[in-house]
Amino acid sequence: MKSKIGYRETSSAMIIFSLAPSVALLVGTNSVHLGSGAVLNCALCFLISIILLFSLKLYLKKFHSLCITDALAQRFGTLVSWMISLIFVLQVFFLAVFCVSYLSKNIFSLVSGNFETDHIRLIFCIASAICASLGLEALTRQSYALMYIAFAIIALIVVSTFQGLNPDNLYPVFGSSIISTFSNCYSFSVLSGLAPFLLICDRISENNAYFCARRSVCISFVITLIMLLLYSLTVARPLGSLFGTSPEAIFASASSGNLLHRFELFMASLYVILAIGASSFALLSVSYGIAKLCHIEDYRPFVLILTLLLYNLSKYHVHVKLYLALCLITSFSSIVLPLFLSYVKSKSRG
Amino acid sequence: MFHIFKYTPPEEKNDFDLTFGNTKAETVRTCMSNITVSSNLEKTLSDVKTIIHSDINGDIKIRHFVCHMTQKERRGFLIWVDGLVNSTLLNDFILRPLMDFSTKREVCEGDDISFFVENFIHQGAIAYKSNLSELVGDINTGNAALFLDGCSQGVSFDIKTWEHRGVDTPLNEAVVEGPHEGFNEVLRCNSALVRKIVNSSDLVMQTFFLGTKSKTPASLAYIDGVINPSLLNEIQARLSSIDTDYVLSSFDVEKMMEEKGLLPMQQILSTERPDKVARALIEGRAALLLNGSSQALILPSNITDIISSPEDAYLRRPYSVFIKLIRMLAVLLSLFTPALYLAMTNFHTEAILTDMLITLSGASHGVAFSPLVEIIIMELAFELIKEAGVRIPGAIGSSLGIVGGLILGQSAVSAGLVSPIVIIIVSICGIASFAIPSYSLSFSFRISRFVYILAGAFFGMVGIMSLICIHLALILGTKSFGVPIFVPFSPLTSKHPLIHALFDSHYKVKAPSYLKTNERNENT
Repeated sequence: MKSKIGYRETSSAMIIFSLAPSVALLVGTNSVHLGSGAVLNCALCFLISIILLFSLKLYLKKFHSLCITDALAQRFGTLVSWMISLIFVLQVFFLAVFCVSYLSKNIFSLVSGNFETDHIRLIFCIASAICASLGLEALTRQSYALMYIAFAIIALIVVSTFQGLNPDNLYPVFGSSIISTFSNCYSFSVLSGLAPFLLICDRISENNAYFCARRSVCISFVITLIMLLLYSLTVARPLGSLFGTSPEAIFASASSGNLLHRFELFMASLYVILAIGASSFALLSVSYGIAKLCHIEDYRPFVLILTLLLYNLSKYHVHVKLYLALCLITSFSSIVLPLFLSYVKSKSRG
Repeated sequence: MFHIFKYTPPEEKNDFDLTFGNTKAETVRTCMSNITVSSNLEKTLSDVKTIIHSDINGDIKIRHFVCHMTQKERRGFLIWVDGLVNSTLLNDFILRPLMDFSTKREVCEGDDISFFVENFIHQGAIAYKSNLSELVGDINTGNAALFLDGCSQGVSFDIKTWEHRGVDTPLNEAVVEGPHEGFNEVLRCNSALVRKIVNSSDLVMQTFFLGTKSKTPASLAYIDGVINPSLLNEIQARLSSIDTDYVLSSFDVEKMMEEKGLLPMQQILSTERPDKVARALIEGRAALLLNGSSQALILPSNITDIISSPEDAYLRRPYSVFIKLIRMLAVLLSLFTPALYLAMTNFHTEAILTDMLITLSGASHGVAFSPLVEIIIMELAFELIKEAGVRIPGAIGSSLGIVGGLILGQSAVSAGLVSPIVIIIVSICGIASFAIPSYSLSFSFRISRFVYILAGAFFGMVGIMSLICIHLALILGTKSFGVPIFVPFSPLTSKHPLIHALFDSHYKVKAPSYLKTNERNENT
């Protein structure tokens, strides 16, 4: 009686993967440039997500539930597929690197004074490697269970921030200028959930694939929007001096009564959950993709090698702008490129 | 003088050395396993004596007799194990009719052993067998074997009556309200207890003999038409694939049937209550009863079964829900309390209220060790007291608990070895672990707690949360006979999993959806 991976679990995994960079960016970067067109940013992000979802639908219609490496091999031969798939796999891997790098840095800022960033990275890498080696089924179910914890922490943070609500910040939230709005398009990270999803696509049913992607995009978008709004609105300072504020300043302004004196702890817990969930999902996808490319049945040997690489590469902090570019390229290339090549091939034959 | 240059090799000693391989005894045993009953009684007797080691075995009895027939005399012998059979049944209903044969019937028309058994022996449970080793093997389970001259078959009589416990109150799963019957070590007694409750003609007790040498009888109980056939096939396949010489208890079977042996979490539920087994059977599960074991295994099991107590079914709904919530809290307290204390005091002091921080600081003032060492010392001391309490007889055991808990703790605080806060933390943790109904789950948390303590002490909340992620992935990836162990929470099999977990025992007893039983399929 083999139980299949349900759409709820798969959606949870995708949401966790999508939310991790979003939340990291919100606190790490958007707090500095907070308020400039947050709503417009999210709307733009959602629009692009919808386009990608449509492309995903076309992809699944054309290649059914084949994972991207198999789909490419089937259509364009071994060499072309190998090259494109390898690039794609590497891109997904760099997403994981970013997750670990950025989140460990942010956690360090929250629990500073007692930790080395390297220690946090090491813990992330070990935990992610163990989780990834347990397989897709365990990982998706873990994500589903972690969703409850993550949502509870988010709710706690939302409640905590009410005390520091500042209505003066409403204006910049809806966009002060076009330039500043576009320069703060940091919410694109919600797209990153689709990319590794394609690598493991053949392990879940075709109907699940599109449904999960749609659901994860919607939920991630809503959560990101809420978080963004809350962070924007709760900055307790006058309009015009939004720049140059550290996350600690925002945390200091928030309080949840006497019991939850400070909520950095909860924030750090949320980061850990998201970071481990996201990086283990990425590790699994990448190792599964490499195993597919090498025609090896068991993907687990690659997990260890990739973890070592992940640990060493995440030492160098990836610039946010580079990450965003990577997200976009990966998401578009994973879905649009096979479709485009397929179209070109069919035309050339015709 | 040249003898000092002369080398004399050391004398070769005939040291004892274990030899491996096919020894003579092994060869004889292999040959004997295929031997059949001979029509020549002398040869059969000789073979039997070889198999049972009659020259050195003191408790195996052989009784020769002669049946006086009108035309000829028929010799035979009975063999049994002293202490395992009912001597009244043996003497009055097997041996006496055979020896009084001539007085009852003048003409004997059959030479076959079945003629004797069918006409003269007053015994219900019999089995005709030709394989000699099987017949002789049966006597180890309380049977007596009959051999007659000229017959190429033997008969095995089930006349077992050995000393055993009666149906008693289950020690580990006692309830205030509800039945007080518990399993004992006799298979048929246990199966009768279950059958009495289920009271259905669809209840099947499929017999298995586990262990190639011990051939321990076991009954796989299930309700035909309710259990999922694929689940049943899987259980039967796993039982058949058990490859070991001896199966002595249900825990041996549990260890061999578990999917992940090293996972610190039980995957099969064991119980000593027939009502719990009956409830599981009605829900579409199977249960394995083993001879010589007072614990039945419920297959498959999930987390709600493991953390539920038998009393839940016999309490009113509000009481039961309250108790279940307390139990869930106990699980969390037992696992995380010391680790959270260490993480907070070592790394996240800013998250503690200022007043509380001052109190904590004052309590740990003058203590020789760091909080980690304090916690480890007290946890180990607590484990020692627990372990010693199990070994020591009842009256002294409770005294030891008082000595350990009060005097040792008080002395440790006075001596400045540990702070009073640590005593409170460890006590809360210990009490919470006792509130967990499953002994195996409690044990798993006792082990996991140490790992969480280390994670909390060295990496704070980051370590604890990382460990939670790993722990969850480990547990959630585990299945018990194809059913994920964390259902109905993950994967979600019910719209309201918490309500399902809290109120389940109060609804009409029916199969849960994740077991995909036949009744469910018919309804849908």
